Amino acid sequence: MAHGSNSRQSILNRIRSFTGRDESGEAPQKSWSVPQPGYVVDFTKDLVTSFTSRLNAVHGTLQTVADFAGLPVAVHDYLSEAGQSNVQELLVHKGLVGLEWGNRSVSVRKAAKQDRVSVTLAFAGIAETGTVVMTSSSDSPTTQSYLPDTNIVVLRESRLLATMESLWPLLEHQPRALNFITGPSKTADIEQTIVYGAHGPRRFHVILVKNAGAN
Amino acid sequence: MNSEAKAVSGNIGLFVTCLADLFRPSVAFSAAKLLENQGFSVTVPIQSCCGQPAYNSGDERKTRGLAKQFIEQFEEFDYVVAPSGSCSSMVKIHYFDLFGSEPDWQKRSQQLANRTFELSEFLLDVLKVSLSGVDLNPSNGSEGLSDKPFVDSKITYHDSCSGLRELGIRSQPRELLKQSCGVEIKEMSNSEICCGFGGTFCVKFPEISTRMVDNKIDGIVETKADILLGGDLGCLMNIAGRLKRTGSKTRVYHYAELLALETEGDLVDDGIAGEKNV
Amino acid sequence: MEVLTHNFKPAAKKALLDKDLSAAMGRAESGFVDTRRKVTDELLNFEEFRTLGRDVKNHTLANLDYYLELFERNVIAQGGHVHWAKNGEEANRIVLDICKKADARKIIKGKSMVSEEAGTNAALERQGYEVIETDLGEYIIQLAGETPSHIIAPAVHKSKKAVTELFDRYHAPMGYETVTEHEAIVDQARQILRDHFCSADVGITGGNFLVAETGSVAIVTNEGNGDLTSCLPKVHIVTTSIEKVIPDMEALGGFLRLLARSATGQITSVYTTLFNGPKRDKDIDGPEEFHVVLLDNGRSEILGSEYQDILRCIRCGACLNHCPVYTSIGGHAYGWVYPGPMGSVLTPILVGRENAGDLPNACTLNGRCGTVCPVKIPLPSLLRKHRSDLVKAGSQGAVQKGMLSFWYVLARRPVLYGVLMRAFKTVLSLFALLDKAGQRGRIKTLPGASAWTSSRDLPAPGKSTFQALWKTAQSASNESEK
Repeated sequence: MAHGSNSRQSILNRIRSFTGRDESGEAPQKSWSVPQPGYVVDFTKDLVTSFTSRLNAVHGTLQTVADFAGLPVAVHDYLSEAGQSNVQELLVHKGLVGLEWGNRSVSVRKAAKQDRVSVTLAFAGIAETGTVVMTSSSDSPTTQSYLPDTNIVVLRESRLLATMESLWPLLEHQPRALNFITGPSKTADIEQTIVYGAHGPRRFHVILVKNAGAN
Repeated sequence: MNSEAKAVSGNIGLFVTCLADLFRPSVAFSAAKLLENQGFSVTVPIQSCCGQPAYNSGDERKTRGLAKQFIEQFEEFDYVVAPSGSCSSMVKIHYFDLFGSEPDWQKRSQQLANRTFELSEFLLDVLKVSLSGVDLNPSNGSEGLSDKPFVDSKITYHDSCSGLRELGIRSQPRELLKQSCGVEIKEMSNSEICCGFGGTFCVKFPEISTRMVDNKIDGIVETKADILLGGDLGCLMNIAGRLKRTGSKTRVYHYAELLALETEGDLVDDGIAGEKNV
Repeated sequence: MEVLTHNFKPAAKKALLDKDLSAAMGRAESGFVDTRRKVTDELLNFEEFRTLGRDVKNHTLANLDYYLELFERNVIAQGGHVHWAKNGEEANRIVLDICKKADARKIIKGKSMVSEEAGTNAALERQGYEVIETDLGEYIIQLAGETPSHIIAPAVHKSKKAVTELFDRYHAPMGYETVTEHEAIVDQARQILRDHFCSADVGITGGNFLVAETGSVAIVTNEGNGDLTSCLPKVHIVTTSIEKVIPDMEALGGFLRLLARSATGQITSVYTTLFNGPKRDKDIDGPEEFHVVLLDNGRSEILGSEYQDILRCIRCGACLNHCPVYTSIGGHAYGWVYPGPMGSVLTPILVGRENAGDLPNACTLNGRCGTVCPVKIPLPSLLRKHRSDLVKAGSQGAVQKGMLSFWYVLARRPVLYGVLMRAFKTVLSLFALLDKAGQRGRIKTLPGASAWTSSRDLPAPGKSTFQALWKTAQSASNESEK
């Protein structure tokens, strides 16, 4: 390390004078496990209902489609409803490029500040909190989740998990960025009043794909 | 008294507390009366202070001196009962921590702590008086709750912080007031928020303390209560003192004073810092 | 950040006179407290999670060297850099160095209390960098030239009107119109900050948790500014501190359930992100460089001390929101980065107890903070411990010391105490006579007790002390029994 290598040693030395461990010390034994969270209403019984109600509570919306082929129509309908029907270009996850998008163009690229709509593909969803889990990759640029005004997130129902704990076994490796997103961006920094669309998307819409097949 | 209640008997050392001794003897008389009504013999050993002011000021040496004195004064009794959450908590919770390096005293303090109770805690949790259906105060309004003093008053309650958070005293005084006096508390929104007394805090930081007691009073006013009750004289003197200074007619009493009362006419005055009517 | 803790009393008095501040603090208190209660009640085993939070932090602190090194190895394995800084000055040198190498001009920032602690903004600005805070609250106070008054809601003390005026002053010259409503204010900040996000060279964020097992830095926000700060500029620097490390993802899940609930009364924050190093080979976006600056600044010396429990703090702010002193005076009066109960414990250790003696004393020991702390830090006990250390160091005030000693001498002599209390009672009764005739229940002024009587009446004592009255009554009843 170019930086702070002396500091590194002196900080660690001071810590070791307390922990009593030396540099080759073995991994400590952990003695806890995370309890299963218990709620008034058991959220594990019906994951879709739990997920939806959590999402709605934070101003996120949700619709369901039977399969991936139904996505473009669902996106079109949603954009019309949201007053965004004149949007020409959609920023998308690479896995969605091959769908029949009609007149709209789709691109897999880094988002810029003028981009209006993204259609991203979630790695998983978490019912306990109404959260979608995004993994960054060459197919899935992080900026797509944050810069456009409208973020539509595609989530396979088969990937709807009960808790964050169920996610870890599914992740083969940590992506550069693992983003947990729960609703549109918001702030309450002025007088505790919630305003949506602080820096990230103002509109946050999840499309749940019932039968995602092998896609 | 039912069999469960009868199982508890013995000598009680009344832990008067400095503030009741000096400013409000009727609180200690009321406590003594309530305990005697349950068949206990109540003794008031010569006492000064349990050491809480020194403890909260950070002076552990002085606190230990007073704690040892207190233990010696009180350890002969079967029970020690105080009409104060913060004073009983001092003995019950904090004495133990003081004697980390004096195991003999730590043991003695622990034995005393096990027998020390805040008044409402003792009456309800230890004696289980309300479960027995026995009146706390047989001589007041024997014809049922409708005759009890103050049954028509609007009464609110301030939960003192030490009693509430260190001893878990919240339902006991309310339950006793309901069972024995027919009093339903009209709750204020901020009953569990500190009134700004805090022992020496109120004189070290008088402006902040005044803001806090004003916030407390806002909550009291919202309830339109005629009477404020509580279980710790420090808080009650602080709130009553501010109420009176700002011209409020709300009267302030320790809950024990109401519990022990036979008729409204027996009141010695119209509350803490109130205008005397005798 | 400049230390003004010695100025607590006058600053608090001034704050109490500020009506806008009082209104703002009143709003914040009820907002935070009520929302927190709802979501902590809904999670039935919230208490179990608090216990978990305490235990995991204790375990991590007991093995802090192991977990820090594990974290470091894993960050490096992912292509990131880890820098260790003994103090704020060194942390700033490290940040400056990275910015210089990156040939940076504009630096955007997500909220980082550690960078406030180090005074990073000022250090960067002194070297000519343009530094822009992007959390809306931080942006507002940056414009105002102030410091955060709350650890998660930095502009909680500002009214909407004050923000309108600030925006008018700074944005009007850029051609923006006056905004008076919440939505319009937020939208204007959004537009301006977007330009900065997309043109900045370096992004600096804090780190809420450092996951050792994976080398991940976790940040939690609602606005999304932390993510934009991290994924748009070519360099991402995390300024954080050594006690933020936790063992693994399992622990993270536990802490995330505690943090949002305790902080903002949310079930989860809108954005929780784990950063795992710089942009990878085929990635389309993300920073080219990823740096973590680990600040110590006195924390390693707290390990093993009587104050170690404060190192569990996850900076949720619940103790502030539930502190009746904090909500009366706001955060600035505390005079340094961390206000409220956790600050009154931490600040005297980090800046020197002799400079901050008022902080642990400015507390009624009402205990509410301790009951809401998500990692069960015994805040009232630690505040009392500070008082005890102040007494041991002889730094309590002479008047206080004198009075306490006098009272102690008396209280240790119960018989004399009784006599003097009765005499004191007589004196007090005389002062009660100064009140209106016939209304002698209280004392309006009392020499030497103006701190009480300036705003409150003092109840007048009765005829004698309880102990004397009781003795008389007992002998009378013994007499009559004879």
